[in-house]
Amino acid sequence: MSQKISHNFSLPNKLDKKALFLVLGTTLYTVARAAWPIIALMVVKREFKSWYFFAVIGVIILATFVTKLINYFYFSYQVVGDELIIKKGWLNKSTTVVKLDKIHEVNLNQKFTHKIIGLYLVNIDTAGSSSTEIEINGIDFQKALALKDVLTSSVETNQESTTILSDESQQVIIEDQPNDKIKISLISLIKIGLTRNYLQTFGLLIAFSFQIIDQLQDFFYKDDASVYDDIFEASYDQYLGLVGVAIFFGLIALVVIFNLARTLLTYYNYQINLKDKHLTASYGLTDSHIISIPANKVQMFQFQQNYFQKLMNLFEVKIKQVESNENNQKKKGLIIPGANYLELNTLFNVVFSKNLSDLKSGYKPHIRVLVIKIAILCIPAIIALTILYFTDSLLFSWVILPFFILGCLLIYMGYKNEKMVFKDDFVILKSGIWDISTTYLPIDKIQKVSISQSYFQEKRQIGSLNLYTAAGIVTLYYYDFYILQQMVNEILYKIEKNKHSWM
Amino acid sequence: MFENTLVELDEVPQYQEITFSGLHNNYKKIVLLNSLVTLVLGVGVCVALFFLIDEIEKFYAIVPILVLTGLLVLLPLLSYKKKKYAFRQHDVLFKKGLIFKSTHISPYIRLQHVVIKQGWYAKKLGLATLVMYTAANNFSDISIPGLTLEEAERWKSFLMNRIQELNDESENQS
Repeated sequence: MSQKISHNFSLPNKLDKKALFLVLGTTLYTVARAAWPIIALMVVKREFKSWYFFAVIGVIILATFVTKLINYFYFSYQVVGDELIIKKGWLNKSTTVVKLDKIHEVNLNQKFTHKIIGLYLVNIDTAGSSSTEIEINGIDFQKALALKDVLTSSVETNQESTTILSDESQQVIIEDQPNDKIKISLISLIKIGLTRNYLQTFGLLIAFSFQIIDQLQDFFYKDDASVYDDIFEASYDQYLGLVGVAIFFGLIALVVIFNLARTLLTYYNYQINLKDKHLTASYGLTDSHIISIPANKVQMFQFQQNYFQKLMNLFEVKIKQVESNENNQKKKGLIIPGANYLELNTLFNVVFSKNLSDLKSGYKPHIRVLVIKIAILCIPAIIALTILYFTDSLLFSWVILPFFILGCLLIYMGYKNEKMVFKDDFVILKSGIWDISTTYLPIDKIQKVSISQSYFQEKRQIGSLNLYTAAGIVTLYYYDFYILQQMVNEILYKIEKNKHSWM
Repeated sequence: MFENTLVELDEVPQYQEITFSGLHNNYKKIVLLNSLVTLVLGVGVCVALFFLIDEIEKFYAIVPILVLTGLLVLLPLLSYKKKKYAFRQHDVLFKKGLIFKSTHISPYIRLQHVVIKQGWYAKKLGLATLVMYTAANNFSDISIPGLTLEEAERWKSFLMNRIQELNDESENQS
């Protein structure tokens, strides 16, 4: 263990002095967040209650401040042997002890206030439930880095057990690569920002605009009149053509700009270090993050690319780690926006000590999957038809047709893009309609397999296979049953024979 | 030194060729009881709807509920016989499903913990459910119902030993 002399973690360490400002900041923030409806109400109604109201707020602020202050003064952390010990509390004391090899991710984060003061929030994720997550709020950069090194250094000892080095691939590894640092330039970030996550942002915008419209409705319209009526009328009368087109393009432009801004804000100045089997990424404009992942804890490797990104030779990479059970909203893992093929390969090489395989030979799902999916597509079509029938507007039923055809087209595109390759201790699944993602699942990370076949699939011998990992499920839907059975046998054989640990 | 020699397909054990063992006969009673409860609940809801609502449209609600109840009652009664399990040297297998047949397999080396569960009726019959958890998130546990308590306990201790053994071997390897 390489503990630096300047930072001795074997004795109880306190938080940085400057973290007091953080305490103050968070106090104000929490009180403001809890009390804003009351304050807003007062401002709107312009009736200020008497002085004791402000006294109450003042007392609340003081009370929270004091409790946070106590928490601050009674917080200490230390590393003894191979254990991290966190002590908290004044009256209710609690001590948390975590074995270092159970830690699988150490992240340094900076919120806006942290950035001003120049301190870091250290998040330590352990295997297990989210309740055992540890936060050390307020350490300066050098110390945080040193702590991170101490916490993650014990991982190296059992590294060899999980990274599989077969003889042939060993030669391929480029041992001393000079560029063990990947930097994503502003230009490629802009490129990726313009092309990623259309659907997600679109959904966000729609939800957002509905909310705005509802607010407008509350403010300006009486109960019986609806803002939607006005919108309909306005668009019906004369502008339908012109305004419709304008709104359409405006929406697209908005989505793209919104996307770009979001990407730039979160991923500004993205750097990723590939040092001795660790991926360390740092990024962020207003909030900065430093995320470190040991290569052997990577559960799944995924990259995606759409048509535009293909033209520009850019990939969006997702490195998936163990997801915690309780709070799924906080996805664990690492996203690398905008790596080119070379960088992608380097990353893959660092994580798995192998090169990306070419996906020339592979299996495709049975063609009948198209029939099933189109049958499923018929359900909304039929529902729409019945609604039209009961509202006596069957004249408009032709509207369904283009949507139906579009749906069929998308399904066919999805089918064309899907491909499964099983080789080199990986299950590789390529799928997607617009964003085509390729998932590399190392066999050793599989926890459970379930192979299924329905009564209707028996005649044609097709079936499905689910591969359960700690980072999610990979489903192979409608493949040749014989191939799937062989895969199951081989996967089990490899796991059981190799006896590699999955973490 | 780890070696990874070429594997002939014949060497790889085939999961399809194993003989599975069925569940205990008394498990039928648990399934029956569950079906009975579902039936009573479903029919109860239908009867309540029939008397509480006066419009003729009530049948739009009652008929689907009746059909659903019928399915929920009949399917378990037909499909419980299809539940089968097997323990191999390295993994556990559990088969189920009447129309959608599935086989769940998990290697012992990936099991996190093993738990024995018992409902009140199962306790009366002396039956137990053996649940094996892995680290994967959802639906990733394999649970074998309808074992006698003694069987379940013996399997549990077998599994615990086996997991320990395999983990030791795994650590020695590195």
